[in-house]
Amino acid sequence: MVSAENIWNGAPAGELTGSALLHDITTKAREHYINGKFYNSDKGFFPVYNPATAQQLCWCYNAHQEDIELAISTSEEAFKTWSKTPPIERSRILLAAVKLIRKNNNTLAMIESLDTGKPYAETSTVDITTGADVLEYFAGLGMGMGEGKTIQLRETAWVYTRKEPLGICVGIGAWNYPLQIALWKCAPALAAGNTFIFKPSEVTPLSALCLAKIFSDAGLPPGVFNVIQGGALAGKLLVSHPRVAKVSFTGQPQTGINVYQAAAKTLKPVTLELGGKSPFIVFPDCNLTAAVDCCLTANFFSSGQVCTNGTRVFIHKKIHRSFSELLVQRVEELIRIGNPLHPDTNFGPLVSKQHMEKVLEYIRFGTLNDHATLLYSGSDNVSIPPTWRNGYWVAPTIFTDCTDDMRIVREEIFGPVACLLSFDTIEEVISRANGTPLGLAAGVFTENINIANRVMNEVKAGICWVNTWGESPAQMPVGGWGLSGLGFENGQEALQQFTKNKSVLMENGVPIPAFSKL
Amino acid sequence: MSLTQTIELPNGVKYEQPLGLFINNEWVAATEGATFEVINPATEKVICSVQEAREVDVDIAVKAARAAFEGPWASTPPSARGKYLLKLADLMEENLLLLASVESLDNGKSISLAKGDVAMAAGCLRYYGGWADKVHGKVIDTMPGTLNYTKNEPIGVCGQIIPWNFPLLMWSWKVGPALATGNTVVLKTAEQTPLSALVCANLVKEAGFPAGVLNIISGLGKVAGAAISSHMDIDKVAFTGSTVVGRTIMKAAAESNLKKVTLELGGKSPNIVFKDADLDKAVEWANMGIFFNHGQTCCAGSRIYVQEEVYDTFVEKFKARIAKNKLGDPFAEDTFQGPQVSALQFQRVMGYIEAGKSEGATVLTGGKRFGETGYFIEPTIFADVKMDMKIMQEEIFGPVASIAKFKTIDEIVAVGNGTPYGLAAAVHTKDIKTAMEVTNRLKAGTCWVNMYNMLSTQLPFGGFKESGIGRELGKAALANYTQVKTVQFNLGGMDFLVGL
Repeated sequence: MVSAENIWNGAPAGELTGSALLHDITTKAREHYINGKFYNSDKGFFPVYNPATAQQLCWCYNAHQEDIELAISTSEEAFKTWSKTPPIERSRILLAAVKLIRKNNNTLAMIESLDTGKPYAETSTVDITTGADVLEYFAGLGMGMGEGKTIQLRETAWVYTRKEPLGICVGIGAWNYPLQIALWKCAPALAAGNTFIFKPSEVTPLSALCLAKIFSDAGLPPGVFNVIQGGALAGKLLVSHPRVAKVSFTGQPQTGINVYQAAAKTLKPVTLELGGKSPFIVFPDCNLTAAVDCCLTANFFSSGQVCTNGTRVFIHKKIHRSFSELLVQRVEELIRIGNPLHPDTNFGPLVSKQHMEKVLEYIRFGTLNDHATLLYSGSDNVSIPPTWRNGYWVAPTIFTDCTDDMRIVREEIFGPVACLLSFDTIEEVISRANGTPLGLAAGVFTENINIANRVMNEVKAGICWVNTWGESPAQMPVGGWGLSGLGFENGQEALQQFTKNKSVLMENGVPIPAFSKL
Repeated sequence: MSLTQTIELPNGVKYEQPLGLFINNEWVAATEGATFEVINPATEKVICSVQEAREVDVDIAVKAARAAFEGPWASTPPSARGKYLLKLADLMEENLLLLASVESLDNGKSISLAKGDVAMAAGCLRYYGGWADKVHGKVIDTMPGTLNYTKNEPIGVCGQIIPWNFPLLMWSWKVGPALATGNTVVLKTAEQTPLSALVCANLVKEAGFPAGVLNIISGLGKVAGAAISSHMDIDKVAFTGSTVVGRTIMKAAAESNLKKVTLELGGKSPNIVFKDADLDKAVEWANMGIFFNHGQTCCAGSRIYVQEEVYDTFVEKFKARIAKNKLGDPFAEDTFQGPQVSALQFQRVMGYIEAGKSEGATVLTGGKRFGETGYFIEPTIFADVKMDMKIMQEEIFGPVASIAKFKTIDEIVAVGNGTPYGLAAAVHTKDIKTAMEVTNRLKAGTCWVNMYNMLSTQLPFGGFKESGIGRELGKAALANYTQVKTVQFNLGGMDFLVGL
């Protein structure tokens, strides 16, 4: 792999410039954000690490029952006013928040990079902007566009429907796109008049606090957006709390199922964005360079820690060799591991020690047990300087000669591991692509209209791409099929997932009695 | 010859008033060098002279709009269009006092009313900015082996002709949906009130709109307006104004290139008070209904009908309420009613007042000019009116109301519907059934219950019958500026139809 000059330069926290948002993150414990201010009840902490060096960044307070009760009661109180604030006024506040987020793009990106280990080149161009885009989208949509209907039944009677906000909505975030996920979840909720409590992943708790402060600065009333820090226990308490109206969760399928079960006890509606093992299908008539470059995106962006990654790469046998060779060549030319905060770095560490060990175990299993061929192992080619060596580094890895029954082909690894497979006919590849209980994404590379449409019509996935990969604009609804999820985010219809319907039938004449005299 | 003039307003605001034509993001002089005067209706004095667009200038503007539509605007993503509108809304709010002051100077409305207009105009642009990337088509399944979808595409170059009663607000109602959906615009302001749109033109450029997307020209209805209506390269014309001019425009559109037409025209709207209404509130709303904006509102409640049991009480309260309306200097914070917009409008309204008197109606209050300078008319009510009187059938567009009794719902519905217009109506009652029945039976585009003259950007507005074609505001306005394209892909599923 190529190494830009001095790509390891700079002490891990050394690039930070002073900013009101940064707030001494290496010296002060991170708190919750409740009712418009930072808050802690001093009942316990957990450590937060810098994935690039494994050094501890700071401590973070851990929520206990009382903290959660406070978040809920302040959220409930705030709902009374927020739900009755005219939609145009809500939109105005949310748009003001969008402005502040974009203004603070680089600072937020730096915090995100420190916390997740993702390259600044990524966080400064993707994470913050795509989060702000969705907030802007729903702020524009929330201006009275959650519409009810009127239905004339007969001369004296008619029905009208109201779409009312749900109440307190809880978002449980994941550690791969902490701020983006917080925004994608709270945007439709807040626009529709709900209040929101966000619990970031305990692995990456920092950026949500910045968002809460930005919301306050934008004029969001206290209690409308609260942040609770904690792990599985805090999550469980929030999800099962009787006064929470809805839960939106991003994470692994099994945890998603647990969330669904806990929510079911109080019949809460639930949105789940879970994992995938998405097929990346390449036909011989594709634009080869474009397909290979998209394959890099689909497997190695964010060090492979993206739910929609196209990690099962089905290459038509005619072009299997040329595709594989070009893929290895491009990995070596383009991927630059380094200090995540260095502007030339485009590949960082994994988010935590635990996750790194899990991914390394999959790579071992793939080699020793699945007997896949290791086509490329980036760790052979990279030398990490001593200061950084403890970081959670896993270099890009490509397996080939894979078969559908291999563990590395069936299970989501969530790391920079691509599995190359070969196929012959369109029927075969569609069938194999669909041979999974997951169904998050899919992509096809071909110049032929009929092939593209046939694959797109028959593939069992909710998020599909033709001749590209990964773009997920605010206007496009995204949600997984099968075990990859429930419901969807983004797109106009997502607003309805944060409202409930009330039908009102009004009789202007005399109601027809059920009982009458003979 | 300068294309700007320094103007100092009565409230101390001093600014550079643009005087030229705004075409391709630039200020240009009229090709034939023509100008026309802009008069302050409160003082009857000339404020300045602006460039007058003639047919040749309309043509230049259309060429600029066409180039922008086929070029930079076509390649601007919908979400970016929205962002420009949001930015423009922000800029209007930042310049609220300036814009409101110019509006008061030019139109004569009170400064407090003008501030409300500007705030609502900014809100309207912001609303349509939110819609820009949400104008969806549909995917419709017919049979396997096909992919069928619709797209809602912009129409093209839109000519927009706006009135003088709410200059900047009407500007925003037109510009917002047209630009949000991807059209480009040639907009002609009213010759009585060209100034505020010209000040806004600089903000349009500052907001970042590509050149040619929005072109603003001052001109006369009979010249530039006619040129727009019959231009062969304008794809759509939108007009707000009188019914008689609306007819002319529709004819010209039909005789030229069948351009699409939407019209917001006049009204003669009934304001109906039932005996169970809260009379004090009804009086307040009736006052708002006819005297707001000096009666220069298309949806004004100019025919007031009071159920006979409460007629006398209502009239006494109404006269007392009207007496509190303060007429005077638009720049005084407590002024409610300023002058009518022009000498011509003043004469027309006074003409109707004379007609009312000569046809035998009784003047309950007002009926004459107010003061010596400026086109002020006293708030006027006629009683003892008959449905066939001129003042009952024709839109007066001034602070002149008629008031009459009614007995039953059937009677008032017939009378309420008894004009060629159908823009708005109101019912004042506490009874649900009365409210529902009357609003169901009235032929009016907007029906108010226990209020009057309140519009929201989210709610569609437009006329039944001769009050117009199409709806503005709300999501409905988007349909005025889009056309549906249906695309059908045969992916093999249709081949059997030709024996393949």
